[in-house]
Amino acid sequence: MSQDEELSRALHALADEDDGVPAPVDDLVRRGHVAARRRTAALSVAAVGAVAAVGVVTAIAASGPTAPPRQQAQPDPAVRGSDRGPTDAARTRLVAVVRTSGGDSFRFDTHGTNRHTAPGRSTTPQGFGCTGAIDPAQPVGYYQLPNGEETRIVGDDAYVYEGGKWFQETDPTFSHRIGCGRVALSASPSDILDPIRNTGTVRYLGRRGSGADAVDVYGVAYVRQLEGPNTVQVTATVRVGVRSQRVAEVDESSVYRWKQRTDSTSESVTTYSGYGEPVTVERPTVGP
Amino acid sequence: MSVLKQRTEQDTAFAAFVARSWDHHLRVARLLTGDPYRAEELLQDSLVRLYQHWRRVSRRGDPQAYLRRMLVNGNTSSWRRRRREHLVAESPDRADPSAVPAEPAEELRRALLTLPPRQRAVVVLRYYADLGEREVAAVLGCSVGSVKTHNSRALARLRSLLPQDDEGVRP
Repeated sequence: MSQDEELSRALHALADEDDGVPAPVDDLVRRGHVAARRRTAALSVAAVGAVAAVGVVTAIAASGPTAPPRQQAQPDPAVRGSDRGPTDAARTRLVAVVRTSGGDSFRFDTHGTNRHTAPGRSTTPQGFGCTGAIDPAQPVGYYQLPNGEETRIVGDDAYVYEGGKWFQETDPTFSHRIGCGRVALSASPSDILDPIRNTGTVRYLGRRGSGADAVDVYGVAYVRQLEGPNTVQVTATVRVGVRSQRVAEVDESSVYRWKQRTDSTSESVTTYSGYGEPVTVERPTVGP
Repeated sequence: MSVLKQRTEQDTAFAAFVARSWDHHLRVARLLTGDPYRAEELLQDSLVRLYQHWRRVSRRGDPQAYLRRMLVNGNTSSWRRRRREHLVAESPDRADPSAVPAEPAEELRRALLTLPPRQRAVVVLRYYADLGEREVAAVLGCSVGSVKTHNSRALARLRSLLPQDDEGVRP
């Protein structure tokens, strides 16, 4: 048997190892209908406009359950009156702010650490971080990693700079699912909002600071399903500018529960600024 | 033709395509991703996107090739994304793969996962899907020369990782 044949045989054996899964034909057709409707709607707006809209939203979705405020906050009487426990009122207010924040251009800066939590073993935290900006109206955006890698969005196109070259992303869903730490940009606000709209808790924790620095503080908590049986439990504190009514900061803590791996945690802080300011992004030259 | 009738015919044709193609492409996706859950997710997402372009793609006559390209591109994007995203997803505490004897198939799976996604795609498309170099180049959107280079590097890498005795795979 030639080496080519031997490799071919081994690949077939490997591919056949897992049990077959029946094709979910009806479900795929249904999802196809939904996606087609969304696509039609999205094309009539501006594709990456939604991306930016969800940049913030995602950060909030990524920010999870009730991390305590850094200091005792004083509840805003106007909010307190309509707020009872983990409330729908708080959820509604926060979702509205997130949507408004995502409609503007904005800059973000996220940094944090990841750590594994094997019992009886110490692990070294691994840092991560990136900065970027999105303008949904044009639509353009970018984010940069400390190692020099960068992603740009120009219209419907996405580009990645790595290894000294620019590549154009050819996956049509790429612009919907860009990752950067816990800031994942998505063109589907409803998907991203689901965690806080339908599950988990959103609590209004009070008002901090005064004048231009005053922020309303919310605690968010939910569990998100990952691949297979794995989950991530997210808690976060979200700070919303009182004057701007825009998301100012998301302070997040996530606990990853893996079925076949050591659990791990992630802590991150993402700050947002420059709402409404212009964002300039040049279309890069791809290759060679 | 009414829109409703057109939609029904489109759904019927798409459903038949899914039923016919699911098994093969699921296996391709498993080899590309190395993870059965991720493979199913990749294939489902690709099929949902394919549905949106179904009329155009089916008119051109080769939805299989289109789907294959979506799987490869989707996996490459996903790999890049995961690499930038949470490092926590890659546990540094996992056992040294060389420390535990593995079945030949498991060794091949581990070796495949060490390949960059485009090299892995070339191996899977050439030796599992039985595509020629020209067809692989069309899927990857590159030249035949690039396919040969990817293939040669991938095989060299696999050779260095897989056992050289009669029990294992020797690409």
